[in-house]
Amino acid sequence: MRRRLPRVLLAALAAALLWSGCAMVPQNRRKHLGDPMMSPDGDALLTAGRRKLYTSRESAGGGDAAPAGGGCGCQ
Amino acid sequence: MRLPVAAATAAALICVVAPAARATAVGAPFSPFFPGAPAAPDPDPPVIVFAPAYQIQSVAARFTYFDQDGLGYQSAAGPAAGPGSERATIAEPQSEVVATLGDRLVERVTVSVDVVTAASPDHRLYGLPVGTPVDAVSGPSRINEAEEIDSDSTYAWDRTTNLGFHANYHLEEPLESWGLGTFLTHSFADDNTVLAASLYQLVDWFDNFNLAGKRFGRDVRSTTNFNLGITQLLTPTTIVLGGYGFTAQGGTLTNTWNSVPFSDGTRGTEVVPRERLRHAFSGRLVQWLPWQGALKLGYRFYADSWGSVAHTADAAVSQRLGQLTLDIGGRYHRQSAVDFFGIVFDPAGAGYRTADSDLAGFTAYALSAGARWDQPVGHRGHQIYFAATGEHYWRTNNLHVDFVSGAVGWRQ
Repeated sequence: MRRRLPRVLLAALAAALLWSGCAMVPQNRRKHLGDPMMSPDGDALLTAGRRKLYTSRESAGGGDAAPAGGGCGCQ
Repeated sequence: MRLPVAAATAAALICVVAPAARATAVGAPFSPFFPGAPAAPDPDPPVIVFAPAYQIQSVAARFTYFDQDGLGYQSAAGPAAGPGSERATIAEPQSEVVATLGDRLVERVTVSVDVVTAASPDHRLYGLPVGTPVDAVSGPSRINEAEEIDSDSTYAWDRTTNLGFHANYHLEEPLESWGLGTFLTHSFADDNTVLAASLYQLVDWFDNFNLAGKRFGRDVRSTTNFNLGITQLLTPTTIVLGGYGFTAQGGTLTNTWNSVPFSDGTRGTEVVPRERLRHAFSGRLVQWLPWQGALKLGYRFYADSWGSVAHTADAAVSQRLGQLTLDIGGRYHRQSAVDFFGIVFDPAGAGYRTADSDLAGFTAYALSAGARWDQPVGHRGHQIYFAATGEHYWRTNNLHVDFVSGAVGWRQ
């Protein structure tokens, strides 16, 4: 199962790329997408504080364009 | 398996290129794929406005207070063979400034300070009843201050490509950490798709204390991290994101003062491998809600070479009520223990061992709520805002953390 999972995820990524190339949202229809509430990460400082809490209290981290560990005295 | 993936990737590239080519054909000003393509004559030439040499875009300050309590077998602040206290509080002021330098460079600088109590419990004092105030390995660790400065510089290479550099420095007793990184984003198909890649290198340099608090020189830990990400506009109200992160760590991967309980009632040092390879896949969906709201759903799968596998899901809803925005959120995290976790070990045994409750198998939950008030200032579109957030985080292996956070900010 573990060996198959990366392949499945790779295929899913390729499918997402395929999907992405064929979807078009014109510039004049992106009013809602630019709203601050639509920011995927929300408040940067709050997100940084939360990430520090989760990565120092759990063995899992990463996947959000940030290292999964290091940089502090925790792990 | 390779052929379908390759075929799908090729088809995806065709689909990415084709809309870009269509955009060029209808007169888009720039195409990375066809830079020499003739542009349609512009009947109304644009007015050129030069950006100021230096302009502050936003300033923010935040203060967060964490209150942690619980028990863990790595802590000696309790009965000799039982779990010890993990009681700690962290006061964390943060600040952030975002500024533009000319029309191509955006600089983001953040500074954070953590004031931590009970950073490194003293293992000479094991045997004390649970609830006894935790002592520390060294005097400064009783109240440990950690300072960090982060800088992100983003340079707009052209209309579709951004190149960035990251640097950070972290200082706490007894650790220093340096980080450098670079990131690249490129948008396709009239900015419908953005691909991102980043590479970071961290080096931690810290004192090696034994369980009795004696210092044995310095140790080093290296963390190398590579990330790939894609952001896609699906509809005028939907954004999806996908990401993969690989982190390779080497060196001393313990904090050196964690202990493990022995079956004879004494305690020994934690021993962990000197290498750790960590993989994380994540997906996120952000959906605009027609009643001035937004829904965010996320999922992450994590696996590492120490044998820990984790699934994390989160959801959040935001609702705007005039100048007030309300947020509620929830998070679910389930992880398996690393292969060498235990709560009692043979004192004569060899091999890896840890009793760290953070590396155990558990389920963690979090519930949060927040509010934010946006206040327009003046006539130039400037805003100040006030925000407050609270969160309750708890794990099934006897640990919980509450935090409250308040922020104030200004932005153009």
